Amino acid sequence: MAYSDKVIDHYNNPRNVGSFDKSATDIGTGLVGAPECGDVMKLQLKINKEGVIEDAKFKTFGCGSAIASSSLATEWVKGKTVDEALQIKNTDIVRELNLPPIKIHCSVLAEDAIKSAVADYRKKQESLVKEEVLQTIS
Amino acid sequence: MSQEARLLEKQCWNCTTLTDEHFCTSCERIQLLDLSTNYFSFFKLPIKFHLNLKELENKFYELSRKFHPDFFSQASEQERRYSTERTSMLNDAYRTLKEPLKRANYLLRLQGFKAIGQETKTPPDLLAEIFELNEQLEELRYAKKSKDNTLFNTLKTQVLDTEKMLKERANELIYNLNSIFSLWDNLPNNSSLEEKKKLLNNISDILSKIKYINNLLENIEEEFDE
Repeated sequence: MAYSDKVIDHYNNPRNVGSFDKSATDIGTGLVGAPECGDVMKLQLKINKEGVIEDAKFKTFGCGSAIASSSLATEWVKGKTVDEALQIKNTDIVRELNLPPIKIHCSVLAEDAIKSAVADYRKKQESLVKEEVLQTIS
Repeated sequence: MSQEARLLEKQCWNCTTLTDEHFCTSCERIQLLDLSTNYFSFFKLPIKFHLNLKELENKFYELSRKFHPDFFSQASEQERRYSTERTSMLNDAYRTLKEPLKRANYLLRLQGFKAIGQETKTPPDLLAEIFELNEQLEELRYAKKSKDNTLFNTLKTQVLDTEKMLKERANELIYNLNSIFSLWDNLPNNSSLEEKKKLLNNISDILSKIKYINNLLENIEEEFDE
């Protein structure tokens, strides 16, 4: 099976590879896996007070399509608000990268990673608010 | 499909005898491969995990000979096509059924599972662990590339320990898989759908864990093969 040029480009020059401190309050971390192929993907979002994604990083251990999907996802989410980022669908990734049917699950993985990173960020923010409330009360 | 159409399909194309065999029971001509045939039914096996491998192998060789294109060089184009189609399914079926993990995955798909592990979420702990171990392996590759021998040797010891631990865990999971499949194989015909589903979910869960671990093991082996 031949990879599309776009997949090869992302595979050879992955954008935004790396990690943020996952305990930082402005970072949301999504760690997801694809049970059918055993790939694992970590996607992290750095989100400012206005809810805009300032930066994104990823690290994926898996096939070329999984790497390309997550690399593309980090490019796309940057500058978007959290809500806009949640609108990214795996089908958009499939279209952009020309993924064959057998590799669609890689794009699903990238979509899941964004959602799970946002969920992690929101959970952190909620507990921060709770802490503040507790402090004000006491 | 109507009963009538089904009957038509199982009729010998040559002598119209009803037959469900590879070769017509009456005129002995090779038959069209029915679309409803699965790998188990192709070998006349029940859809069970535990099977006699020796028997499977014998059957495979026997059928390979019977379907061999050499026997059909003088036959009609139709029969030549049937023999190629049966040979090709025979090879796929044998390759799948002889490997326990492939057989397990196939059995699950026959039971309506689209993808392994879809029903149950991978435990986050396992994901985090697999990710970390992948990072460890990445560090080792980096040390090798930058010719840092001291670091490489330290990491190599760690990775080899990891490998040993993973192999033990994979063996344990395969042991569990075998015992759950024994339950599945011996389920009475009247057992409830929930009961079946519960076992299959359990199996699917174990298969996905094995997949993560085996993937990592393959990557580790690749590293030390060169």
